[in-house]
Amino acid sequence: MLDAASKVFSILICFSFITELTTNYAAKKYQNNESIYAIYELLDFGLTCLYFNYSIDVFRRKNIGIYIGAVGIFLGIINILFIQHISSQNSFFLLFEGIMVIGMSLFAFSRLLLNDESLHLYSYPHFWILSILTFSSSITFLNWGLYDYFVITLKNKIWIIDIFLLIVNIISYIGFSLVFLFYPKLKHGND
Amino acid sequence: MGMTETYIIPVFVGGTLLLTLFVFFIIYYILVQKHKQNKHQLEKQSLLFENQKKIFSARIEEQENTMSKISVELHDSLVPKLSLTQANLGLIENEASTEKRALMIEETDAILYGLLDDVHNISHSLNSNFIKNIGLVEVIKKELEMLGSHKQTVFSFSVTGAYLPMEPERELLIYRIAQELLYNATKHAQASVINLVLTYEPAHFSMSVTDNGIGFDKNIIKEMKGLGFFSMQERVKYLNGTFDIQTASAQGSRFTLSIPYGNTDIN
Repeated sequence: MLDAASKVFSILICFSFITELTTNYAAKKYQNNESIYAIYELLDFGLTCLYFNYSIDVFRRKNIGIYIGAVGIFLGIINILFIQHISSQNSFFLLFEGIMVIGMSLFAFSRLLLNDESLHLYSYPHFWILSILTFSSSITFLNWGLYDYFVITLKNKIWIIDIFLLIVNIISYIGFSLVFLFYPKLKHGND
Repeated sequence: MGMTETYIIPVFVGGTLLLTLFVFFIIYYILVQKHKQNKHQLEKQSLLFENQKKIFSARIEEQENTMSKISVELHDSLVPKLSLTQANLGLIENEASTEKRALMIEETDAILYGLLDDVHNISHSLNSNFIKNIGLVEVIKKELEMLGSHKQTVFSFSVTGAYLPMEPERELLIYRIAQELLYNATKHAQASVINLVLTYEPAHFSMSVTDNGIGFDKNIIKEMKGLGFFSMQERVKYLNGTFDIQTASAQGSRFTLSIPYGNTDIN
């Protein structure tokens, strides 16, 4: 049986899948799917914060994850309304999301190390989820950071970023699938 | 444009790969660190378990020692006196002369008084509340009187400095250590002279027990079972004190317990 944090994370993955299908459809029909991504990014950030809220002991006690999520979504809306329009790419918010997710992941790692309980990380599902999140967020952070620069100055080389993003996403989602596939076994290892 | 393209692509690819490596390094580091932590935790737990096991066996050993002490006291002190009383009673019954009878009754009465004293002493040396109530110096004095009354050993006792009453619980622990040392000196070391000194310094208290017994090899102290060393050391640890042993084969022994006064001790 999944714990609260894993349930939130599985909802996030399902939600991402539905978004990808929708954006694919929108790209074909309206030749622009940025507005769907703009809204998805807000919800994605909110759900990710909710995941951290349930998976980090300190966050859970004071609902810090929920507050970070709420503030992040508010800033995202401000960005859409006043800085980067909903129909354009919200690169600022993507960078902000990257920083926050990497920061929270590193904090979660530190909590794992500070916890005196004998925890076998090899068989702890949240350790692997955090590792994959850190990996994907770090790489996409760099990629999205340079995306606008590539669009302006090296448009013919933008395929390099696309390939990197594709590889990172394939690795990450295979990783997530494996974690949920072996979830009962992994959870059993720490019981 | 050409120059930028030349530089930015390798920097971007290299940066991504480096970042990937860095993330993997962090994950690996955390795994190794947690593994070490788990191992340390396991070692700590097994040490704790070992220590608890030692304490448990020391308690059993102590119980056995107490039983054996009671048995020795009964055998050495009470049984001969009771036998003598029984013999006297038999003689009184058969004795025709009233004068001699009165003398024997008086003698038996004295034996019975002695017996009563012995029973009191044994009972007091086992009763923690009694020990706590009369104080360390008095209780050690009584213990030595009792031991001296039916053992060939010569006991001497002295107190240096003014007696400073400590917390009763601490005094009881010190007394139990003294009992253990005296018992070891008479039973195992076969000492004929034992000297016990209590020293009350302004900052700390010390107790030394010196004997002229057979001594022992200090290096094999851990292998010497049945001498209550472990339980003595546990008590010393509890008192935040130190325990010094000076001994050599056939040269007697000197045990010195030194403890600082606690906050709750009466100053």
